[in-house]
Amino acid sequence: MTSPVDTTVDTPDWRALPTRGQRAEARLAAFWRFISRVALGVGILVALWGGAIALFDVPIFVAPGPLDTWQAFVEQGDRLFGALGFTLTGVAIGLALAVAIALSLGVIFTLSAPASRAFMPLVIGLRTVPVLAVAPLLIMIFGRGQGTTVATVVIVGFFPIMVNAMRGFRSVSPTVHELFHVAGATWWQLLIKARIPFALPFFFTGLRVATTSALLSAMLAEWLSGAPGIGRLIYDALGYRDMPLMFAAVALSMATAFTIFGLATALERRLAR
Amino acid sequence: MAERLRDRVSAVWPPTAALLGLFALLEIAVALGWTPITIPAPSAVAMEFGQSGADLAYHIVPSITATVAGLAIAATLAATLAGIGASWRRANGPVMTFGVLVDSTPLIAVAPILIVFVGGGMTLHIIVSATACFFPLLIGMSRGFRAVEATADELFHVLAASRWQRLVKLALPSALPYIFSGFKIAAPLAVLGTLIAEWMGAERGVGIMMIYAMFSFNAPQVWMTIVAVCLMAIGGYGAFALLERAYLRWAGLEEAPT
Repeated sequence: MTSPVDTTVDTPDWRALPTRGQRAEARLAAFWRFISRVALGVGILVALWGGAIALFDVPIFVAPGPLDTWQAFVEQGDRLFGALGFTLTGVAIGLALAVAIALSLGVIFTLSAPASRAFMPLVIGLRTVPVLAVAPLLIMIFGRGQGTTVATVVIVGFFPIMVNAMRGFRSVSPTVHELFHVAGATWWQLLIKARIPFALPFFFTGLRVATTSALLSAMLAEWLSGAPGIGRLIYDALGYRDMPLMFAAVALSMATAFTIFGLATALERRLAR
Repeated sequence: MAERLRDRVSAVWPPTAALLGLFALLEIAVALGWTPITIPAPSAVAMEFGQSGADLAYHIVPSITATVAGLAIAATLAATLAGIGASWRRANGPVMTFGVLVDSTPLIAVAPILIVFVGGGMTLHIIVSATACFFPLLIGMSRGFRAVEATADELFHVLAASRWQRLVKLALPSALPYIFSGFKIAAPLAVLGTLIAEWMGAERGVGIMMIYAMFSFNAPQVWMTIVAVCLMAIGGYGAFALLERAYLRWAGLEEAPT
């Protein structure tokens, strides 16, 4: 009564598979397609902007055209990039601190059930709250310098990283857990060899979310505190009605934000696999 | 029933105890003079609510108005765009790109340009609030609009359901969970958007009250406004959570785990 078992394994023909070179070429082509599409979008936007300025004859102290903005960008490039560098330094320090704090707390909460039961609902509840609202308070505490920027980035970046890392630590599948238990692994081995590898994709998601909101929060903190970053520069330029400089700073910060967003998303996609 | 209550109590008491413990610790630290002047005792913040409650009420009304208006505008726009994306497949990519662009644009950078064109009043607050909460609404709605199962769709087709029946009995029930979760994320973001816009300048608003308190170094008042903003955000989240629960109960569906 045994039916003949089909023993042929479905092997793909290796000659039909793309080689590494072909795959790299395809990826490169996709990259150039993406770049050209972005360039086209920016080009259309700039053309519309210049056209509108020229058509309605908008004076330069209301809104400058693309050419004036570019001129300001070239003339005051040092100032713009100096301010941007200041902001990005704050963002980087803040994110590093946020990762350190979030991961250590995440490990503690994962290992200790009572701590998790007592504090996790509070952490989850704080997630619905707009944490950026504490920026004025941080200015009062940390003064008007880089400290406020760092503290704001830490507070904003902490929650997504920690919540995602916790979810990752918990995502160890029960069979793996049992295997480790049967093999007599210590909690340390379980953490290093199972929990952390399982948590990595979640962790990168958290990091992406944190990174994209970090620039906005840093600029906001600078603008309120008066630290010499790009957020302050935009408002100083607005105050002096130096519109070309303001538009250049806005364009630079938007480009930075999109770059960071794109890099973080791409990094997440590569590392989370 | 009693068991459910016991479950709920055992889930609620540890965080409550932790929170009360933190408050007590802070209270003691302040009484012993360990904390800087910028961190007042929780009781001082509570007293501040009593003292300047009238001021707060005066300032919070336009904030709530701007938040609700911003949320409504963003929801309308998101529904339109998601509708276009769902019914015309080729538009979906550009719609999503637009959403991501809006989402990753630093609000603080665009706001000054808006100030130049619309001024620093209520219009600005509403626009910034709408921009801040647009993306989760767009995601929720476009997911919801295409959440109809293919088999259910075919069944409705076979049974010759009218367009109206399809909308009310098929599309809406499968879309609503996504839409509700979009709103639950968007409501706190709308509050944040209003707050940021008000920081830039307003005649009345919680944000400007916070800034004045910061400049006059009135720590309890800064804390009070922060707590008020948090309550607004939680209120927005809670309103949509309650609405969702009411809908689920009305439709006789299982309560979704949050």
